[in-house]
Amino acid sequence: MLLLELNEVSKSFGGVKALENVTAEVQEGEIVGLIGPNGAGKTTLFNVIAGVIKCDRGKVKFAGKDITKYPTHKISTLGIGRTFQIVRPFATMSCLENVLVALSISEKSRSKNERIEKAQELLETVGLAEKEQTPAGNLNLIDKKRLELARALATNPRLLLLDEVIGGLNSYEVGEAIALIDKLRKNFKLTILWIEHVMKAIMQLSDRILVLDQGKLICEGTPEEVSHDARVIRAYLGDSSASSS
Amino acid sequence: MKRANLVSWCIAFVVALILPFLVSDYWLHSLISGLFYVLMASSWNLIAGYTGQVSFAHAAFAGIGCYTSGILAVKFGIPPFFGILTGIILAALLSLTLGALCIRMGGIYLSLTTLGFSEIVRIIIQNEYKITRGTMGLKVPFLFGNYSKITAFYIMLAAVVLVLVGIYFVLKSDLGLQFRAVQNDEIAAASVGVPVVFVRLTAFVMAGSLAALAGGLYGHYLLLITPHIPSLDTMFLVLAMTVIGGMGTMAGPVVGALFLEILSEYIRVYGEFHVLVFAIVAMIFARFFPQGIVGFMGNLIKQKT
Repeated sequence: MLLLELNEVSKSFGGVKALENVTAEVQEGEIVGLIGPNGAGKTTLFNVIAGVIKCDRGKVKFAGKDITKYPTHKISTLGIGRTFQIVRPFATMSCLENVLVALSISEKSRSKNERIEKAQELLETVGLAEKEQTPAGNLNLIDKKRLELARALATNPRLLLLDEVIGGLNSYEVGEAIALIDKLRKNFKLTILWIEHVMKAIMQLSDRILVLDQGKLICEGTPEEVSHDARVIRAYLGDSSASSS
Repeated sequence: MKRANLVSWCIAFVVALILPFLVSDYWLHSLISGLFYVLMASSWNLIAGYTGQVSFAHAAFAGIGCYTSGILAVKFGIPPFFGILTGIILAALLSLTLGALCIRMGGIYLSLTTLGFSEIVRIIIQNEYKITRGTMGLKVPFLFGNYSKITAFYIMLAAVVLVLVGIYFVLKSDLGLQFRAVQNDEIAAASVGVPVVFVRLTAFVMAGSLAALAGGLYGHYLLLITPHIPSLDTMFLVLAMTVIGGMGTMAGPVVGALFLEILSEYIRVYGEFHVLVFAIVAMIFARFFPQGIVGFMGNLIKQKT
């Protein structure tokens, strides 16, 4: 089933075209990587999908519904969860409370104790069980990223947008993170659209990859296809290296 | 709530109950004013300390509360109890309107808009001489029955207890959790489904209504209401009380309001210079105890254990 549909999405900031006629689809159950050089418009695209930024032209459809003009919180309750590249924890609140905020919306009908239990489960899934009472502002970067993940999962998403959750981790942690994302995908029956610069991770886990460059979708295909595409190599390495390789 | 906290609150309550029999008539007046400021600072803390909206319209809503009820009593003979209720409803509607206009702007724009609103309210009250008697002040009846400071004290105390318990339960609820999430990070809060504008507006209307309650009760105790209640002087005093006591804590505004009210009694002898003393106190706190008295004490206790 078609879960996310982007139809000629465009967005400019002043004279800079951050996104230009981006058209793409994500099927339910897929894990799709979104890559591209710095400034390609990846995070802008996430912000448009999540409703933080409204696009100038084009349409965003989620599960058949046109959500282009929906406010952020409504998009979240419809089933799109996200993490932020630059982490945004509720700094003065404990990890448990951070997750409980999300559960106070997504699990409204459940009792307080049930929610606390679920929050603890989620923190355990991402490996933060021992830090549930720590104020989120005191966590290190990796733990903050784990918390972002737990909080996003607590919204009961069908589609999860992950913005560089692996960036900044060492190679051992990257391995762990890959295993975690793979596990989440299976356990929570998630569809994932993710931005990542760690090629090892994105090539290994993604079913399909979208490549953005200067706001345009320049290539789309399996990891294998994309990594051999001349346009992609040019976007990443420049003209001369494309011809010499 | 932690047991030690609960015990402290209970002790404070018991002390408050017997206080009217221990102090002079003069200090009793001070205490009643102090309780008014406790109501004001605690409700302002709800928006400034828990949802991060620095509104300057709080004193104006207190003014709307006391003038609505005062005018109804004087012109139509309506008992203060119903008058105050009407004032609260009017303040709720006005804060809903004002909030709907300026909450989306947020930050400094919200502060500026509410500042403007506050001055508009004060100027209208000051100039509509025929209705409000302007700066001469409007003579209003006592809360009920015969005038008694002790009655006024207990009514104020009852209101303070009800409001504080109410605020405590709100903060404990899902809404309270969402308040803090919105204050921490709006975008992150929206991304997990928190309806940010709605949450902010709820806090704004709650605070406005509580200010009207405080103003109404205080006006019928003072017997003479003047445009001083909806003035920026009152507003900045409430702000100073909340900040010096400790924003974003339950006890902070209570401690701050009583501390500054009592302090102001002692520095009154310096006439206009008392403003200077206030400013110095505020600066000392901003420099050395940015988390206020309660935050500072909390850290002290944590370090010891």
